Amino acid sequence: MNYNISQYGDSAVLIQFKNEISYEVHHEVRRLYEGLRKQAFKGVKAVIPAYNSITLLYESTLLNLKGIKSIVKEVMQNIDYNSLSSYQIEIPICYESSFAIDKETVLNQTKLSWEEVVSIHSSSQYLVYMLGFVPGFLYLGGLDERLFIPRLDEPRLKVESGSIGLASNQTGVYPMAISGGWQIIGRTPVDLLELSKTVKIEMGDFVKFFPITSDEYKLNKYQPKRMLIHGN
Amino acid sequence: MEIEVLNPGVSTTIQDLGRVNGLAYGVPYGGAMDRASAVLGNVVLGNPISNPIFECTLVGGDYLFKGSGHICISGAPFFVRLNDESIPYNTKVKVVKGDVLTVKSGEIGRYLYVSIKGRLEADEYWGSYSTYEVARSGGYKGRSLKKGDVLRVKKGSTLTYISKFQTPVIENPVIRWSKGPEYHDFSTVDLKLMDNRQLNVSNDSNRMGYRVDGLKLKGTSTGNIISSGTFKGVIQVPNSGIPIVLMSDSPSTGGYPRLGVVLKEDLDQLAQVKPGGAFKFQYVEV
Repeated sequence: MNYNISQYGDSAVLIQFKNEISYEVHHEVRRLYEGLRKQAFKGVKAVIPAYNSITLLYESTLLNLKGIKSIVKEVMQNIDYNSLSSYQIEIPICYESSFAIDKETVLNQTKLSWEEVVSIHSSSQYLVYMLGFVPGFLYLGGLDERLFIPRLDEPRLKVESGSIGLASNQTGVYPMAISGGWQIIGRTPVDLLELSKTVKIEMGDFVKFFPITSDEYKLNKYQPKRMLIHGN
Repeated sequence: MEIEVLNPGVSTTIQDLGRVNGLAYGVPYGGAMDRASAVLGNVVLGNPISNPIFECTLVGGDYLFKGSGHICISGAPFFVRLNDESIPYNTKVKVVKGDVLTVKSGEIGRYLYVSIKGRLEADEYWGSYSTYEVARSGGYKGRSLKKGDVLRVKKGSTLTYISKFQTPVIENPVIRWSKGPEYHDFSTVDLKLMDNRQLNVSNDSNRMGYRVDGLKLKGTSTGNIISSGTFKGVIQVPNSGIPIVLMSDSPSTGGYPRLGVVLKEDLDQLAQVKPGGAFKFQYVEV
């Protein structure tokens, strides 16, 4: 698969893959990301993997565009996607009405029963395409088409921390109380911001949600772990 | 030594030179907004340059020293007094128990740094002691200082540096920028608008980013992009057409077209422009 490397300011480059969000492109990004992490290349300060690109920050006294091009070429030749391990994290969600503040809208727009919404949402396995824009936020792929609904016309000024929402083909959890326009269908008692300090969810990991009751939500005995599901 | 916060000013946080290893996890670079001034304070005191320091925003506040030691003031030229006496910038100044440092506002500049000889104790987050308020982490309890907070300073390693230094705090700086990934998606009309006109840093600006007043771009025909990496210095253009320069607490990824990137050398000067303060852009090839 092709990629293009271009200067991004005076001390970064953008490695751009095909202009789409897909598993195929993700696999290429992940190969490069894992390859860059595995080996400490002199002058590479940091890499930011995204859906279809990697931003690479470098020390301009030690490295230049030409050097980066040869590093990327080497990594892309040497890393096989199938050799990479996969992990899964399971996150509890309470889908009860007190937390599912957009339940009515979701029912109207999907024409499903609430039991169906919960069952569909909690039976899929979601791929972590990337992490950002703030700590603990996961960009997830793999939402079932029956749950595709548009975001709110006017974003809420404050969405409670832990809220899980739907927005077109995306689903995700707000790791902190921030403004946002996703349709909220439940909430997790797990503090994803705190979790991100101890359990390093990586791009390429998988996430599954499982339903819990409001009593279980209150008890909050959950400590999600990264479990190996493929490779070693 | 201990330092008690009598009045925290507008927003005073502990910062250092930031972190790189969390960028893939949504954790921003962080660190001092004006890195050169932050480094200078530590250099003058013989501290390692990455030691945590106080970063005061616009109005600094009042601080009581509960022991003796040395401090250095650097950055924005604010009204600074030690027990009602003025003290020099970029110079090692002795403090004794009971001294009160008062930092008010100034005509120009935005960030003032107080460095302490030794090592200011702070919480670590992803390898840096910088406060990142969004994640309630790093620095002092992950937040800006409050009245009554007591910070401790330990003996630290001592080094000597020789430096040639020019202050980044100047009026009407010219900020150089180069192409961003979506540069070619902007019209020539937009590109011409960017340079050689007086612009202002908006009041709507903070450690995450500075909105630019005085410009309204048409934007790209392609609109938002698939979320991709961003960092300090990147000039984003959201749908409003009003550019934003991302700063120290820049989100690690974003979906707005990236018109350009401010040269690393000019970031400290831009950081020091007050809300409402003037500057110009100048395009350069890198």
